[in-house]
Amino acid sequence: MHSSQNEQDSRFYGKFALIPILEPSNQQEAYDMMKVAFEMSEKLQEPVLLRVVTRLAHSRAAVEVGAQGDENAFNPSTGRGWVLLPGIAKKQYAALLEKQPLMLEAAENSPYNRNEKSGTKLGVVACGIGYNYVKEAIANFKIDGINLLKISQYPLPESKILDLAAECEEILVVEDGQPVVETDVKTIVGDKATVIGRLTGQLPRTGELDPDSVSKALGYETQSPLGTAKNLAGRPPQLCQGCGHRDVYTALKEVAAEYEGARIFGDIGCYTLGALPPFQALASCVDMGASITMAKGAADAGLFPSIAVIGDSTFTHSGMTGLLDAVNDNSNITVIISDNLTTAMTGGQDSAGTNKFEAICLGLGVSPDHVKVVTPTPPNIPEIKRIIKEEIEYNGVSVIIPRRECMQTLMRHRKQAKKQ
Amino acid sequence: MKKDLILCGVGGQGILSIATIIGEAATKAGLHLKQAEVHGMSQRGGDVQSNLRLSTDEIYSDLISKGGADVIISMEPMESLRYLPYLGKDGWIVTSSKPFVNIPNYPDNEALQAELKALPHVSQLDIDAIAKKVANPKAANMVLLGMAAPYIEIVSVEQLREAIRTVFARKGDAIVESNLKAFDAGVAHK
Repeated sequence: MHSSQNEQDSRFYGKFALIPILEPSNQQEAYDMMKVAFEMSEKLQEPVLLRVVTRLAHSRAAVEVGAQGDENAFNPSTGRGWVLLPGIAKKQYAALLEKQPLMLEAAENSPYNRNEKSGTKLGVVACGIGYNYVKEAIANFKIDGINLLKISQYPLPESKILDLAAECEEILVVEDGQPVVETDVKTIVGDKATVIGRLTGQLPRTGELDPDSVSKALGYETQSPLGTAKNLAGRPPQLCQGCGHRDVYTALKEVAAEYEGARIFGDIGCYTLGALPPFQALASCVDMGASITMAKGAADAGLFPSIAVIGDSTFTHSGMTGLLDAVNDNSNITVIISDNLTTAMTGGQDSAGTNKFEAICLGLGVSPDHVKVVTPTPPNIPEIKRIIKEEIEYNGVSVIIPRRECMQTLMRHRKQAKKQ
Repeated sequence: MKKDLILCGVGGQGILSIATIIGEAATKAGLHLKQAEVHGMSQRGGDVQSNLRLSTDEIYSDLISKGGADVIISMEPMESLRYLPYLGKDGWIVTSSKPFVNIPNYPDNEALQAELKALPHVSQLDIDAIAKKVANPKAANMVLLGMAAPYIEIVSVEQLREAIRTVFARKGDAIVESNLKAFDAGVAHK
């Protein structure tokens, strides 16, 4: 979990949709499973969910690649399976239920769900990447007596879990994310075994698993022989020196300070860093587009001034619908589209609306007198402040577009130009 | 044999290039390798780290255990201390001695140095000054890699030199040579 509101384990969606889930434990399996998932999907004519947890997504290793297959023939559906009217959807659901035993059978026989046993002292169900941490602990501490069931394919292979419960009095469930399997294993084994894990405190309820927490759950604590350093300070990320968002926040904070109860609603991008020192300007950052919809809701409920700050690519991703809504209701909000001409936070990809923002805002019905473009540089701050103030004072929807290229892409472009 | 390395510094200092070069050398040597890292807003001046695990045998965990690291390779002295709980008792800290101060509450440098010097195995050098002298300021991370090279062991100094040639080849001979010079200056520091 890095920046979602909470853990949001995608295995719930697999269960909810009644489809198979594959959960790789390492990079090679992630590669191999993609092929398996496509084959399974073709065979079942159902989607297959591949679950990748944070650590696997942020880690790399060499993988052995296989031969590339031929592209499937383009074969658009001719039936009515994609017309989800109630009468059809009811039949589809019955058909989906009929496929469940096939999915369970595949999971029972899957090579990815396998038993590795050195005893019966403790049963361990290790899901996906959890398997690695268990294996690491077994190797580090030379742990004996573990009856290890590796799970990487769902629905859960119930008979394998019952076999484990027949041999072990206690079963530890090691899974990244939420205690999805732990709950299910409890249901499957009933009073045949005690099930422990994140819900019972042997593993922490929050945060990603790591070799230390899993070793501890197995009864072996890793140590820090050199202790913890004293001369340390946090070093949070910051907006780059020279970044245009800095000038936007400098101006905005100074204007907002003139009003009691002003709120600035933020959004998702580099400019979310405006929530941290030195600016500490933002009252919210929830999901893409929420700066505008939350500012609208707050304004409609009586907040003044209600200001939204959104980046150029987030605006085209899901800010436009909120802006249309605000225009339709003539909500009293000031929207700042801080346009750095790129999708900066993810590395400088093209931004879908570049050169179109004024036209988009006018097209959505914002008054032409209240769509303003400024250049965010330190010398322009007085002018930007004046415009922000004017637009706050205007009773209706205003859009201010501070526009200046991202420092990272600017440096990259300059370097490229020098080469040519 | 297995070696667990933590590479760290401040976003933009070039720690991922160090990881790429060690990774290239390890892959060529036929070793198992896992590299976990935090990135995202890593260009924005925050702390960044990467766990790099190299082994002749299969590696399970992507992350290094507490007390499990053999070497902490750091572009910044305070950042090297951030990962102290992960350093093994015979492990080495190889770090730039020059603080990168972009926060108001950076610790007192004398106290920081005293804490570093009280540790059993620390190798420190002003890598920026050395890089400026022998190559160019951008090659400071190669000076650091050179300093760390003797402690990495599982890949040899010569294998790392070869990896620098491979990784920088597309940037031309001059860049390869200046990076090698910086690397060798780091190796020479004992």
